[in-house]
Amino acid sequence: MASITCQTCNMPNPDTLEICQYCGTPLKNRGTEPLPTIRPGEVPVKQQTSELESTLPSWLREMRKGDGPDAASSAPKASSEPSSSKPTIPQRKDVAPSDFLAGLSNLSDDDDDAEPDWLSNIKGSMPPVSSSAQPAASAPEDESVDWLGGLTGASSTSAQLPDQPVDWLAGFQEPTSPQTAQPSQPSAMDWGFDDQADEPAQPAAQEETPDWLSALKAQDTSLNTPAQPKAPDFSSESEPSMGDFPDWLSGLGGESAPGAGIQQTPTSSVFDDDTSADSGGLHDWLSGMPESPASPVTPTPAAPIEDSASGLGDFSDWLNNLGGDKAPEPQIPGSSTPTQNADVFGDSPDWLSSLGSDSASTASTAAPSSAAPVADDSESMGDFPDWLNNLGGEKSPEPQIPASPTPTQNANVFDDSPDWLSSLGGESTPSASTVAPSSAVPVADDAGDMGDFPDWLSNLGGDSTPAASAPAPTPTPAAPVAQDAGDMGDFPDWLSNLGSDSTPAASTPAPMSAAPVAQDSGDMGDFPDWLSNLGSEGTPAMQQPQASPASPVTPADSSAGADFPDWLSSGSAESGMPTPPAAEETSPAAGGASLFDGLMIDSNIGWLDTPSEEKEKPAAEPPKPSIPMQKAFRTGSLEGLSPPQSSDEVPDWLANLNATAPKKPQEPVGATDFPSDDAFDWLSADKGGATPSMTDAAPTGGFAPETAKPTPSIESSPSAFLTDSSQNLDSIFSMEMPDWLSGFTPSETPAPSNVTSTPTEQPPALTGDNLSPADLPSWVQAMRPIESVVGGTQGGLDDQVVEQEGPLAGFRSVLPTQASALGVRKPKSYAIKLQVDPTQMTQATLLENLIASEAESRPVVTAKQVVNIRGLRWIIAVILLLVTLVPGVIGLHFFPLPATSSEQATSFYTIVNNLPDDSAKVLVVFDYQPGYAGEMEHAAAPVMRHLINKNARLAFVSTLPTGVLMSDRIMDLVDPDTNPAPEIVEKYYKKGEHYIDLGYLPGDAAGIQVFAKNPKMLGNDWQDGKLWEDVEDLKQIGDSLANFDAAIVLTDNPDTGRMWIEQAGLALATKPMLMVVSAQAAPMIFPYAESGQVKGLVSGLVGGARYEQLIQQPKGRVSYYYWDSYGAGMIAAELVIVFGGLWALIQRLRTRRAEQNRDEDEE
Amino acid sequence: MLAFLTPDFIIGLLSLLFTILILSYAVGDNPAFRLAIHAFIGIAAGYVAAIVLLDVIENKMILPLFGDDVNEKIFVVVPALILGMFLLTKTKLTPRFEWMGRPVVAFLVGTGAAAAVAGAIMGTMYPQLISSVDMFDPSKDPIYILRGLFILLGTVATLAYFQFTVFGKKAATGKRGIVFDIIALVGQIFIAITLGTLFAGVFSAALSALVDRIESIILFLEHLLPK
Repeated sequence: MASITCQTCNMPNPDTLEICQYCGTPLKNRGTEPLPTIRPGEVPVKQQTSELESTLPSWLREMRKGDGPDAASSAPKASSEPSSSKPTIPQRKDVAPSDFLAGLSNLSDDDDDAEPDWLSNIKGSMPPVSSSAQPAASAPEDESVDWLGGLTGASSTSAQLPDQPVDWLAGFQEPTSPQTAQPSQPSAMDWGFDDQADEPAQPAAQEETPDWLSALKAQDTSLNTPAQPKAPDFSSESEPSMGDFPDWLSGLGGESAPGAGIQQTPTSSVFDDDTSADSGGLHDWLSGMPESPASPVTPTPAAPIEDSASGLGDFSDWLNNLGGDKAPEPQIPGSSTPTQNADVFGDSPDWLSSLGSDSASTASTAAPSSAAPVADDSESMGDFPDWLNNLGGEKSPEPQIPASPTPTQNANVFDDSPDWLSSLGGESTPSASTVAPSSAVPVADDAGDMGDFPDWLSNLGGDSTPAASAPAPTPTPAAPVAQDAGDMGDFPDWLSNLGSDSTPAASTPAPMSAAPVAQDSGDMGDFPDWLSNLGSEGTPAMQQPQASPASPVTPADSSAGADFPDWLSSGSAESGMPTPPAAEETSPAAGGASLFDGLMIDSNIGWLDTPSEEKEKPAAEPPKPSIPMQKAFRTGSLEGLSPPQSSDEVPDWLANLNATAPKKPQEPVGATDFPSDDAFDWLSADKGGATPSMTDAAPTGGFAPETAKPTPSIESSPSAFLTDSSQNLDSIFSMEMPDWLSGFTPSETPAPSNVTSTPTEQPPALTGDNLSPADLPSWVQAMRPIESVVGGTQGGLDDQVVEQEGPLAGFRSVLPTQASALGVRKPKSYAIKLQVDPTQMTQATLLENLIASEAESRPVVTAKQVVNIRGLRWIIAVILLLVTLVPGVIGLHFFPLPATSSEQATSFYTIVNNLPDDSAKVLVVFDYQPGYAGEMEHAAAPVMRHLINKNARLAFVSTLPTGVLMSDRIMDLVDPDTNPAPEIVEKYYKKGEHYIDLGYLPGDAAGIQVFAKNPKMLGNDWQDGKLWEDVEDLKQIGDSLANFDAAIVLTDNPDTGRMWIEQAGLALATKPMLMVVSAQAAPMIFPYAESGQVKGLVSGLVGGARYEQLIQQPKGRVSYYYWDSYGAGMIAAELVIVFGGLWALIQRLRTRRAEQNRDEDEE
Repeated sequence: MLAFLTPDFIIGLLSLLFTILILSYAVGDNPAFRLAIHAFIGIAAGYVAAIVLLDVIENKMILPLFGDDVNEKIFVVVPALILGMFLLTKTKLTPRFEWMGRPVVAFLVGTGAAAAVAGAIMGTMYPQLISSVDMFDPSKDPIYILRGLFILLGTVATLAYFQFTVFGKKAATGKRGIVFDIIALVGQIFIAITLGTLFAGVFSAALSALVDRIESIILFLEHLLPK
């Protein structure tokens, strides 16, 4: 598997990874850059749809790239035009829009109505066209933010120095010329400040200053030049690159957003011209841009704000606030932009917002009109970290400036600022107080406070010191910087250098910022390498003014800078606006267009046209591999920070730094003529450095994906990219510098080391800044937002998923995927086969079969009706009737009586016969139903007759209510008067005399048990309660059943007989229990008879017949009348059963034979 | 003519009529049969109610209240009367107070079950077990032993027939072994003989009733016929 070596940590990574698995650095350059993900708990930043450009579908991006060749073709034009000092608006019209805009323009021809929403939004965000560039140039000055004034101060200088194309860039021009031979701009992408080290030796003062700081100084020179309008261009280019900055750094750039907004109007005008001339088919919104007043004097506040917001879209909120504070500052007082910007940057941390406020305060000093917004921002200073507060504190002296209307505000601002920050800001304060409203001057005062700064910060201020000391004919920032250098010994090097760079730009209206930069470069020797590299990056920016004197931003150029991030564009616009003559000097229109073309060429960004020849050089330079290298973390914010060129966008603390440098020589000039010089000095310097860096980076393509972000570029007019500064920005962004520092590296080299404020004199970028990203100070690493680190490691791959379909198609990392988090792995395999022993298997099989058999539907077998049941029933009925009736009627006595008696019947007879005569007390139980009376009566009659013959005293009881009736019937049967066969009865028996009827015994078993224990409990109240008394012999029965001589149970139910046996058998003790049962109950009672529990048993009609024989009863009813019928009926039944069986057998045989015959026939 | 209208004649005539109505069932279910059935059921229910009111309620619960035995009144009659009143709540007429009769019913059921169980153990199981064992008394006639063996075989075979649990290796198949099947077959024969015997007894009882009815008809007719 192929591996990709991380350019950050040099660790091999599989080529499948897009992000380094060790350091989180993106390994591959993506065509589109994802928007910053919104983390949980993070307040989403208001963004415009234009920011989503990077995530646009490929077809849109391709459409934008469609004009690449055109842009390339226009580049030479632009390169040739820079020679013309006065840019003209028509020239700018010639500038082809950027590729992505060109693609849109193509679309506009076809489908004006069908423009997508996002385009319409972008269109709406465009500021109204400014009428003229010159008035706009003055307006930005008023709106310039103090801290940006350090940067924009260069514009003022540019205004004063009409010869120099762009004041703040002029400083870069000279050093860039030597650097152009070297691929310094591409090297910037490498972080490889090695290129800068290879640069020609610079003055001693410049050697110490980092390149980027020197570039800042160079910017100072261009502050007063009309090239300030170019700043928007720079900012516009920086915006796409800002996507890579970490949010917290991007916020720094965000500070200049308002400035960019101001500059947008001129850029829009420029763009208008371009579109009208070249790309007449531009989209409506693009075509509408030229209609807007190009003059930066009348910037529409809304548009800048939007731009700033959009440009800061990638910034973290707290960083946005940093720039947001300054957003209102550069705007014309009365405009609503300050509040809007405040909203935009409302999410910025307080300390950063206050940082912006500092700049605002400084801006207020420069431009009293912007005091109001500054005041608001200044209050937030309390939250600044110490070191940043110190930065802002440098401006605290600004309020002391008599001209500044907002001294108290600044004072409030710096009250909370830390010492070192306040001192840093204080640097600008003296400059403002002593020299002019510009805040850059007081840097020298703050120098005393610089002692607390770390070295690298002090160096930053130190850079400004030489700049300040440098006696520039024009109030270049170098002079105040020189003073600061001495005072800023406490400052960290980089800060001191920074201050020095920015100070001249802001404080000095001197057009050329190169001079201070030159000094700064000398001071920047103390800078850490990475900082010095920052300055070195600006080298190309300085080259631009050299190669093309037209590079000085003219109002037209400033309008072109609308593509810059707002905060940058605004700063540049401000700087350019107050210097209408600068436009004459720098050929704004032509130069802007050429710059734009050159940018397009150099940066390989299709939508950029770099007309200047200078930009072609970097384009011709072989792209360094460092450019495509992905940054370890996104530092788009820093990139946005780097480009600020306009004085409006320069933070106060930086502006103050710049103010220190130009303080001495430039005070009179900058303070009076260009109040906006106070603001954005350092940023203006940054612009100068960053702009070329951008352009230089373009050829390398390192920022191609970033430039692909159409969001900021679309909002800002494409003409903004025509500026030289924008080219420098490309070179900067193409560097491999740490992302978070890329914003600080607008100037590749402090080429404009021109202490004399001549851009050509400016030394090249700082050398010896070869620090690698690993050399970052620990505190800087600690400041790295966790998101950038964690996000790259944790969900880097997941977050980079590009939606393929749906409304989110083309968007990257919109929907987080948790696939990797879930840890997809091969599922563990488990054995499917269960371990079952044979027994369990057999049982399971059996159960399965049972269940299956139950589920099976069985055919319903209908019983075959063999014979006609009704007919058979009739036949059987007739047979039985005949066989029973005929023998009874005829009386043949065909069937003999049973000869032998059964053992049970014999035992019964013996027991009864053995009863004492005339005194036997016999309990007779009549428990049979009336239905069985015909059988039971004829079975019990011989027994009862035997008892009567024995003259026994009888007690009748029954567990059935009908028992009483049965007893009566049996006694009637034996009554000679009522008996149809009186001859059978030997004597009469009367109730109450011979026997008693105890009646019904309720309770079944329980009743029998109770009755067995106490027979007299029953019948005492019955029939006057004298039952027992009526029968003399029964009086002695007492309370025990055993007092009876025998107990005879007459029942047709075996259960009733068993119940009497069980409950009364034990009570009878030795007394015999005899039973006369029905034939159907005999089988069930027979075991009790066999066991001896029942001493005698007479069953059914047969038993009665036998008993009659035993008692030798002549003409017994059973034996005489019933026996033949009974016998005939039994035989008939048996015959029916036999014949029925035979019939069934025959039927089966016939059926089987029929089946066999059928089978045979079938066979 | 009126001389025939004696109670015996009327009873004889009604018995003859109802006998014919019942025997009409041989033809099939018919209204005559139903009429006779309904008549018998109604008469029997009325008779039972009359007997219960007279023998139970009046003689065993009301009359004792007016007797001389105070203890019987207090400890037997009155509680029985109260509990008997609670049983009336079990009727559908008073579902609201139905719960009051539950204890009484529980008492009756419990008492009856206890008596039945005790009687079954002491009156059936134990005596029958002893009797079965005594059959093998060598002092007795060997025929008794043979009878005992026969009874034992019949008992075991019959129980074996109703044994459906399978053990051993045959358990998986769910089929009993050959030996067990043979024993079960013997038990099945015993069961068949027993059922045949019961059927014969039922048929004998029914035939006896038929004969009685036929003879009663014959006697009735003989009384009608002039001698």
